[in-house]
Amino acid sequence: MSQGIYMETSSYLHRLNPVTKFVLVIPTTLILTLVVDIAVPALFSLFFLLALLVLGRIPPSRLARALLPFLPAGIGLLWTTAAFYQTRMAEAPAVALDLGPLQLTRAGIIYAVSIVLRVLAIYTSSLLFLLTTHPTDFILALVQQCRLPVRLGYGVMAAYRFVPLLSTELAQIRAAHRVRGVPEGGGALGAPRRLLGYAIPLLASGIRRAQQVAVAMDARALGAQRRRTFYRHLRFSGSDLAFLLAYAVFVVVVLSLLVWMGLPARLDPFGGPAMRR
Amino acid sequence: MLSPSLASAGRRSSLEPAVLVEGLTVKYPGRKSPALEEVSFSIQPGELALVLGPSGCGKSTLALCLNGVIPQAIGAMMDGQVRVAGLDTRHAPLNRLSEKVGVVFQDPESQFCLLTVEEEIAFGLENLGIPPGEMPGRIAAALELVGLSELRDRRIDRLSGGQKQRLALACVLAMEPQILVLDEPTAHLDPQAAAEFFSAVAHLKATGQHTIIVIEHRLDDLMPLVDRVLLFGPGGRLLAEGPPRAVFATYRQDLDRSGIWIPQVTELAYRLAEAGVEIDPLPLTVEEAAEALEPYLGRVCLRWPPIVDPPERQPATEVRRLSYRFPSGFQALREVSLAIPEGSFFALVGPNGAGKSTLALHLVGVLEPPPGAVRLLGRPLGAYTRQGLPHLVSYVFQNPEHQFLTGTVYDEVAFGLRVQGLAEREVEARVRAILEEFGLASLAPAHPFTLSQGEKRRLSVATALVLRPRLLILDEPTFGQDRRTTALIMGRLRELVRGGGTVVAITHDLRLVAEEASAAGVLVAGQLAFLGPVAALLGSASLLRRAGLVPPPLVRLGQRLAEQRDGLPLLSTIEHYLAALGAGR
Repeated sequence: MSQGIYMETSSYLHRLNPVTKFVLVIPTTLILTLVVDIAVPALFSLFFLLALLVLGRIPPSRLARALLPFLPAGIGLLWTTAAFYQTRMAEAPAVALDLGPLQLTRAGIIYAVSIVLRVLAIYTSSLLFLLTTHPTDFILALVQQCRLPVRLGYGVMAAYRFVPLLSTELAQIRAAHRVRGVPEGGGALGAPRRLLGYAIPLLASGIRRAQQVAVAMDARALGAQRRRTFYRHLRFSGSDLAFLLAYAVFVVVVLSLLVWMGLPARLDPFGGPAMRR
Repeated sequence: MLSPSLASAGRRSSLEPAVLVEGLTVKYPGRKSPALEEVSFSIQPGELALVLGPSGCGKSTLALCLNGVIPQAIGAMMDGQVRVAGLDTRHAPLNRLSEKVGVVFQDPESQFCLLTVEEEIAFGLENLGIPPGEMPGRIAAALELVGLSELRDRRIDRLSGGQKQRLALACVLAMEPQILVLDEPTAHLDPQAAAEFFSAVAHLKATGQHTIIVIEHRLDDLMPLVDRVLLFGPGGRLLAEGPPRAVFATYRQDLDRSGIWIPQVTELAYRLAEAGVEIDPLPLTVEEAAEALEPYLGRVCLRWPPIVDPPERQPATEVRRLSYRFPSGFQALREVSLAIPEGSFFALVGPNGAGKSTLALHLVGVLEPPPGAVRLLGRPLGAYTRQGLPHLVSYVFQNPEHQFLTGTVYDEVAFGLRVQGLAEREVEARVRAILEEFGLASLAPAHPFTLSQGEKRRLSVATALVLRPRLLILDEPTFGQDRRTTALIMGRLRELVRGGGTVVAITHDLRLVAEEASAAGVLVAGQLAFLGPVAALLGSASLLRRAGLVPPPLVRLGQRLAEQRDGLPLLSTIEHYLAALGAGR
């Protein structure tokens, strides 16, 4: 069964209510959008990475693999931000790196690093949720804590089970078409037509399965009783509260530090766009 | 051994039948004819009733009527009355009904929505609002009944198909219904898993707590449990109801005409009767048949079978030390070597995941073998061009839908011929002829996806046969097919083989293997565990077990008879019995 990048193990973070971990992403994103700085996003990233390693018991190698997709995006973002920053400069910039036609300024580089770090921090906060939360648990929590309608919630879970089946089926269909002499390749016109050929049987079986599951769930009285009970109740426990508190303390400390040290002033010594706006 | 909570499910009133159906007519919106028409019957508490009928006769509709899903959750027009355990299914709330009637469906992949065995069973209890404290006991009791106690914490996606079906049974048992409806529960299972499922059903029946209604076409293991048969005809009408022996003895013509599977020993008795050997009473199980045939053992013909050495032929396909590892790292094949002579029917058997399809896909070049590892008709596979291969080999996949490429039945059959570049006149003649032969002529303009399962399978076999392939590979050709479609397809394959073609069938159906194949290969965990004549395979119980197979009824019968009479070879097909009992011709 496909689980996204979820890593199955038992840890403090795994035992937290999925909603707790999900909710953290929101203030994190908000703060990081408003604060333009290098230290703050760096501290946030560090916070989440440490939490994953220590509280989530995610092995460093596994964490590195989860961070890998960020690498090309981060480098691309760093480069383009730094390059474009320069063109928007009004006064004569202090050139830090001279690449002939392209000159990177010190401020531009700082700005670019801060942008990349902000994205990294948001990315790691999502990793904290994704690596330690089984998707099924998340939906269960949404049903139990957020009053997601049960038929919708369990419907999504049932559909989720089909994801791995789809990829096996696609492989079978491709083999089946190939053996009948359908040319692979086929240029600009051939490819979309071939994909359509794969889509029809996939859709047909998907719809059939969906109907069967719906009937099977009806037969087991899903939603027939107004009040359902829960065998595995996902509660908000003391650890959820503790974790949220720790996060809140972290945020307050970081932000006070920011104000106390007057960090934003150091961000852009040349009066870059962040200060002017 | 039953927990008190499960035992209470057996509380029943002795006044009313467990199931009472009166004048039931069901019509789906947009359909011209009803799915069920004027059906009336009743089933007493504790009985096991078997529902038989041709495909599309409304059997599954009946299952959904019994728990009130029709008409309460599925919008269909329903006339007449259905009462289960004293509740009217039209008015009683669905949650009360699902405490009375539990349904197990066909497809093990589409009955679950949670992650683990335990949670899935709890799901039904949650729906009923059962207090969480009661759940662990009920879950344990239900798992015990189906023999899955050890797998309580297992994730569902790690279960085998057979375990999933027993889990589906446990899920409804935990809700403590008096009535169980099993809608083709073993259709997707291999023979061993099916046998395990039926033994769980036998165990349930023995407790006497449940009334069980089974829709099934795999009858051999089920017959000893059946009290009554409900025989449906085309158009959703109830043709007959009664004790199984009486129904099978009286309605042979209807059973034959509708292509309904019957116990293999019963079919044997029909054929023996035609040949002048009357067996009375009609046998339904291997034991009954063994007893009935004992008096005839004195005069069996021991000179049978005439042994004809097959002529030496060049191999149609030859595999040398083929290994294959999937990109995921899974080793699917290990050093497999075999040769299949031209003009033979070869059966490839083995448990699920043993590498049968992977091997077959190498034979036709969909998976590319290393150079020289696979030869086709005397030349290395690599020597053929991608365009050239479809002229020589065809492959019928297990799911016919996967292979459909065009918008009409006609074009579907014509596709391969057109790829070969045949003139349109020739294409038309060959397409028309084969559609006629497969009973699909009137469906020529229809979209392939609108056909019934049996028609889809016939179409997929027709698209392969019309090309007159030198090597034809079929993946589970009899899967889900009725007796008539199976006979039709087998007849055509026999013709292909007689004409020098080669057939390789991947199958779990040992009855097919016994009747059609001359040689077989057994793959277990990617290795060839056996390669040789079919008779040797059928005779080896340990080999069959490793392959996830159980000997078919006529083989078991043959073994019993061989024990009683020295020198009797192992009889494994109806033809063998006819020959041995002197009724050949």
